[in-house]
Amino acid sequence: MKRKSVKAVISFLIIMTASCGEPETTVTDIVHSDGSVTRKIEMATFDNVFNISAVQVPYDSTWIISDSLEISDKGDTTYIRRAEKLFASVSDINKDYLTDSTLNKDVRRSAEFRRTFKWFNTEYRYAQIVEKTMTFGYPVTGFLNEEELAWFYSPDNITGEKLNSADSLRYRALRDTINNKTENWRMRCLVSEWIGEFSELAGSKAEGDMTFNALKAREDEFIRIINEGTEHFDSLWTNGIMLKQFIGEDNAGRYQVEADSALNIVTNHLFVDFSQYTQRIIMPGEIIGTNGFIDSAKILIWPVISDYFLTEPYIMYAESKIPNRWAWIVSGIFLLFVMAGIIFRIIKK
Amino acid sequence: MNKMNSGETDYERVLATLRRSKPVLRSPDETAEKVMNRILRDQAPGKASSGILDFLFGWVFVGWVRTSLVAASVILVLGFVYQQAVILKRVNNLNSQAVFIEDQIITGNTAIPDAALFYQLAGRKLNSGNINISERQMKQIMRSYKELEEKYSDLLNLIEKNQALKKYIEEQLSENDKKKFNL
Repeated sequence: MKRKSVKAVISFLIIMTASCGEPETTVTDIVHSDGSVTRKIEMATFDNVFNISAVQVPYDSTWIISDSLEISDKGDTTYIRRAEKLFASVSDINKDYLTDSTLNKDVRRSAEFRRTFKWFNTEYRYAQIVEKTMTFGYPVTGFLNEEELAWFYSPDNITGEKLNSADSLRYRALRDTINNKTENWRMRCLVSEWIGEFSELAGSKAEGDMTFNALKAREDEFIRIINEGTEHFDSLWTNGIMLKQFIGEDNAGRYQVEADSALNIVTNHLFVDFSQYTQRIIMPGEIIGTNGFIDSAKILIWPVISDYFLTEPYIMYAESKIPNRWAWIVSGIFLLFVMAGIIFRIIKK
Repeated sequence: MNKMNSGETDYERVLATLRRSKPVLRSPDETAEKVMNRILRDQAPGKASSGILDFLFGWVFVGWVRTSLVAASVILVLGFVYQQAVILKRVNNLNSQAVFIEDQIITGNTAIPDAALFYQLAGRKLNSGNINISERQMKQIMRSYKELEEKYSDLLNLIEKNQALKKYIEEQLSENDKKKFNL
């Protein structure tokens, strides 16, 4: 059976992250008041590879595509592809996601649009959602405080700027604290997910101290065992030593298949194949709410990184409003009419 | 027959007497003026507008209509104030919470955004030509440059003094570039 050790998968993940094979991609969704969306994808790479299986966001030949390149002073060539398409509604974007065959096809993504008429204003909400990959993991909000969460969700250029600022010592300490906490968070998620998946696979076969609740109560113990043997996790797990420590020798023999399968599922959930990109949204009217960052061009930006949707859906939302001028005028006339009527009555009296 | 003729004669006589005896007017001019004024007032346009006003605002004399319209007006005003207050609060929250960052991505097809992307992707090296940057950005660049210079001053001195090391590093960097761009 195929097994993945924690360290091996982490190494693989680091290599994938550092890899520059996939293009640096920015998706810009320009939302129109009628619910249509102009989607622009901008990809840049040194390899001139823009195959659908090598990019982060789905596009096809129905898009308007333009290619260009740039040669630097040193002779380095950067290839750029721009693709643009007007979608009549978000359901068309979701159809593209359903037939996704990109690098990020394993992750479920969707778009939402809502328009609410509120007489004086019409409010719009547009969201890009990435569904969570883990079922039994813990939200990161339980592990990081407000300041740490702000750092965790910040784009690299913001954190990089802070790390090089005059207050760099404080930020480096903050970064290290966050790294430790997120490592702990991932480990807890891994164990919790393994317990959950194992219980589902074992089903009614799991009895006594092998039930979900019994295993969940020993979660801290499992984490301690993994931390103690983290450097040799692969061999300890393969040889069944770690599992015996977990659930005892008898149970290890009895539930070996379920335990291996659960670990396989968990590593796939925790280290999901995902290539990061940047999401931007331009809303109609005035922005009144968002959880994104605002760039100098007043466009909303989110980095899309796999850590953000491990245990909770990653919802990138923007809300805006457009005043209904006609409603303001009608309301004004109505108010004047009523006031005039009251004055008229007073005079007549 | 004679009796009937006598009655008719009396009637005619009384009628003739009445026709002869005209009413005594104490101030006929004043009366004539009053009559004229009344006639003129009835013909004036003010009468028509009064009618329109009565038509438009007739509802003010109907209790339940008056109450309903006033209530609707109050609800409208309160709704407006509430909605605007909520929006204002959300915008204020947005201003205090949102992090404003420098634009780092390309948009459109103009030369300036393209230059920004190429700067980002092509090894952070700018091509020849003009580019506008803010004073804050310039200060930031200078500060970063100084920090890097200070941070690696020892290392740079060490490399400069050791020719073999310098040559080795240059070779490694050159090789890395070739691998990176696969040229």
